[in-house]
Amino acid sequence: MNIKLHSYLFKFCLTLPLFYWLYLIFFSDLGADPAKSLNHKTGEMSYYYLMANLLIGIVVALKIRLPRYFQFLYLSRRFLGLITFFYLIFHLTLYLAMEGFEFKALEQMYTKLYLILGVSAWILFFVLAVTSNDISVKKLTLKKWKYLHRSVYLGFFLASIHILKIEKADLIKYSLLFVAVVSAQIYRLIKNKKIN
Amino acid sequence: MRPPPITPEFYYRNRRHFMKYGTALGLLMLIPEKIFSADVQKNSNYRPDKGLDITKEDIATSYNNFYEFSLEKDLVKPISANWNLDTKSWRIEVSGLAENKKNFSISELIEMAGGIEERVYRFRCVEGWSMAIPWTGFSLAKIIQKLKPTRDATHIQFQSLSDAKIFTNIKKLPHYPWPYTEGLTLPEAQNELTFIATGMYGKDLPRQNGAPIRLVVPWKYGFKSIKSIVKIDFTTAQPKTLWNQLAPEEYGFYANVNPEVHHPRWSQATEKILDKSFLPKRKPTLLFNGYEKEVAALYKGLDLKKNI
Repeated sequence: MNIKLHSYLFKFCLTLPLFYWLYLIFFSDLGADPAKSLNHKTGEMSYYYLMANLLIGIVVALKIRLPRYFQFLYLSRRFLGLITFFYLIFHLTLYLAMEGFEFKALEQMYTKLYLILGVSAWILFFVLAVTSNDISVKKLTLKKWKYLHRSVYLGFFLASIHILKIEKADLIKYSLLFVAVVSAQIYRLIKNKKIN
Repeated sequence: MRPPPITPEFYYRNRRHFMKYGTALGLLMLIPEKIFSADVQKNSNYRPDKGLDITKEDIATSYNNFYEFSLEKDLVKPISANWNLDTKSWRIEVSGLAENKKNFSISELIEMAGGIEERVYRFRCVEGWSMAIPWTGFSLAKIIQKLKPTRDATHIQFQSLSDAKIFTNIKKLPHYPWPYTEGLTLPEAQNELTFIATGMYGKDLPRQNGAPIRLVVPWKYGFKSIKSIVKIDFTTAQPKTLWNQLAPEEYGFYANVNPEVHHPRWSQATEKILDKSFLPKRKPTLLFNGYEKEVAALYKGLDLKKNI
């Protein structure tokens, strides 16, 4: 199997949760409050994707050599980011739908802290998603583009606090994941200083 | 080496009977028990509202906030199924400032109350969803009368069971001030609406809904309606309550349903009527959950925005 095929297969796999959610909506039981349950799943999955993306970032920054068949991962961050944002579109739309697309929901979005954080992160990821193409890199110049896309770490912080503020059942899980990602980033910064 | 024991013929023959009756008994156990809910009269004053259906039973019994079992509402039912509950030996301790203090069985309380009735109440959770549930039980006022609180008694505190062997999630939430406690002022407790439920949907209370006996205060957020009560204490001061101790700015002592007083993390202006549809209908939340006529007098002169 060649690497390109691997890469396509990987990209296809990333879209699988979408099919699973559709299956849940139409053929399965999402409980007493289906939209809320699904909203939770979309948020959770985008957070995992974001973490995976940061992890690949570490691999790239530390110049870790991956086995040949996994080398496509070096170039998969952009696609991973796009699909993450795609899930976030569902996440926000579902939230608005749950609130009946009412004005009141908008008011909540700038008065309740977890929503302020969530919406800020969403806007940031939106900017990153629309500039996630070669034209933007050329227009902004690579240096500025890289600078802009480093704000993904800010987005990660906003999203993490957004989750930790509202989550009850899996608070420990999310706290551990957050600590793990932050530790990995600190490790990368220390290691990077040594390399340069 | 001793020869293997031979099964006596009596037991051998009885095996068949055991299988037969045992199976029958097993099947009988699957039928929901109606120990405390037989011959229920529907109270026509508390019928479902026009245009608001009674919540489907499987929703009300599978979407439960019962942190002693799990923080996940849909896991409470399967986890609580392991609870080997004996409703007949259940006792409720009455203590504090009352004349008639002792441990009561549920049947004794029902007898004191003069039997049970069915009432359909709206149920509004602080999380922003609502149901309409047919409860069976009796008005708390009826037994307070017989328990005879002394003149000094101003409040009632209720306490849930806190057996960590049954409530397996208690250990995972060590920062919560267990046992679960709730409280009411004496006038609130004596209001006609304040209800002690021993059943719902014409059956005994399911474990996940607070078996075998719980409080239902329909004009307050659901967390006030304490489940699996083991103790009722008449006090002379506002009692401590679990949620109020844990987060006083989020969960006040009164916790009256109020569309104008918002939870720090979400609005209380509207509520979702849970009916399993993908996007449930919303309706505007009403002051005192629509029971203003019955309870507003209790809070005359009280600033409801300060006394949440």
